[in-house]
This record gives sequence, structure tokens and C-alpha cells, in this order.
Amino acid sequence: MIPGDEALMTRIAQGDEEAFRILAERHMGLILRLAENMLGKRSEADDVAQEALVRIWRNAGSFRAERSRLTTWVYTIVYRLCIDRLRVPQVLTIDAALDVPDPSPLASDQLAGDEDARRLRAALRQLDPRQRAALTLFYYDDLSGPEAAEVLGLGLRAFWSLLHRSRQSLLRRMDDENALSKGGAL
Amino acid sequence: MTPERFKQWLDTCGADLNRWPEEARTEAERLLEHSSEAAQAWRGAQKLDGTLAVSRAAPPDPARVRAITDEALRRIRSEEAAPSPWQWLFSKRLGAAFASAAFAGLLAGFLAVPMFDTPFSAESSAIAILFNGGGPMTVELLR
Repeated sequence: MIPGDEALMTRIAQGDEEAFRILAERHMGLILRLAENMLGKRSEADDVAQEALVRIWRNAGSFRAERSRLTTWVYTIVYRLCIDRLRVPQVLTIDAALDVPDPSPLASDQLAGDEDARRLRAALRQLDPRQRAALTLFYYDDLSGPEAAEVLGLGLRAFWSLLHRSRQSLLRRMDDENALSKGGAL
Repeated sequence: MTPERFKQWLDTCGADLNRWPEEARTEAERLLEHSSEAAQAWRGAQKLDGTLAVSRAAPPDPARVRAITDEALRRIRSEEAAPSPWQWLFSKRLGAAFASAAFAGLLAGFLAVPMFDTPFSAESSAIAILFNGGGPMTVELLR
């Protein structure tokens, strides 16, 4: 039988590394997607994911399933870590300087063979981090409005408003990208 | 629901009505049945939703997931192996000894205070603290 998140958290609170690995594997896709979309760099997303895992381990005992879903709890940790990271002025090390966003399409984009996917990623990168987070949580990770609002620390009305602005900005940026690529093709 | 309101929700939650708040969804479904304007806007929103769906990232590489998890576990183990300088406070014996000593100190202080009490009672004296135009502070005992 596959253990549920709550059972895994109980085992993690008792120091069970195997349960920790199962949980990490189950949620890593979500963690990395939010971190990558917010920070724009793979290496930074990896750092945030690692820090989030350490916090999950440390705070497993205080997690209360009746208060929130585990995904909401994990996302809140990741979102706050990303915001903290974005607040700190970045000093570029040589490694970080070399870690520029990869302009080549991702494997998923290639599979889809879709120019739209490339434009979308480029447009997403130009948005404000909170807008990127709102879109990622709602459209990619299928969180409900109330759950996404909880992660972002917003009231529900404020979240809907943010999501509306984010989607509109994304559309505008995609149109700009479209115009650019058509201009480039001429 | 007006077509304008419908479009506003469409521009927020996308074309999948199941993602809309329940109170808006029922009205939207009713509007979609008989408004061509709403139906047209809905088809437009479907296009962006399709693009968003396509660009959903593939699951991360298992090797990457393992590397991140291993590194997190390595940090956790090293943190747990190195006790904090205050950890002795939480061990049963030393913690109890520390708490007893602190309590004894407090008790001794409390009992000793009356022995060194000032001869002035609260009724007969007051302490006035005077500030002398930015100069040195003077303290006067008033009887």
C-alpha cells in the first residue's frame, strides 16, 4: 500500500529517512517547478528545494493535516524561500554568472513541438515573481483559488485580482514575443 | 451573469469552468448555453489554456531529485551530529540542576531584599529625578 502524505509526515517526525525520500520524490516536481518559475535559474531552484526539504524534516512534527493540505504547506515554505532569495541583492559568483536561463527549448517543449511553449516560457520570465507564482500554482499545479491564496498569504479577492493581472500580463508579453519573432523572421 | 463579468472570470481562471469558484461557475454555464459572445470569448481563452498545458514541465530527472534529497539528508545528519552549545540545557539531569540553581537564586534574592531595604517608606519619601538642561542628571531624595 502506498503511504499517504500524513502517514509519511508522522514517520519523518520520528526520523524515518525512507519516508523522507518517498515524500521528496512525490513532491519534488511541484517544488522545483515553483522555484524555477519564480527564480528563473535551475541551480537556485535546486538550492531552494534542498532548503525546503531540510525545513520539512525539521518541522515535520508540527505539521497538522487538519489545518492545511501538505502541498499547501510545502508550497508556502518554497514560496517564502524564493521571496527571501529574491529580496537579497544578488552577488554573482562565476558559477552563478554562467547559470543563465537556457534559451533552448525544454524536453517537454520539444516533445510538444510547440513554438507557443517557448513564447510562453519567455513571457513568463518577464513577469513579476508574485505573478509567476500565482500562475504556476493555479494553472500548472492545479491548486484551488483558496489554496493558492493561502500559499501567497493573500485574501481570496486579492488572489483573484492578482491572477487576473498575471494572466493579462502573460498574454500581452506573449503577443510581444510573437511580434518579435515575426519581426526576426522577416 | 453579464458577458463582461463572464469575460473577467475567464481572464482570471481560464476556460476550464471546473476551476472557477462555484458561485460563478453555475451562472457561467447558464450564460454559455445561450450567449454567442460568451462562447466566442470562451474559445479564445481555451487557446491560452492549451499553451499553458503544453508547457507543463516534464517530471524532474530522478538523478536530480536524488542529488537534492541526498544533499538535504547530508545536511540534516551533520546538523544532528553536531549538538548545539545550549543543548546541555535540555538534557534531563543538567537541565534540572540548572533550573534548581536558577530557582534557588531567585528565592535567595527575594528573601534578601527586605534586609537591605532603604529606611524610607513609600509614604514618607519619593525620588525625584531632575534633568538639568541637558547637564548631569541629579537625583534628589525628597522627604
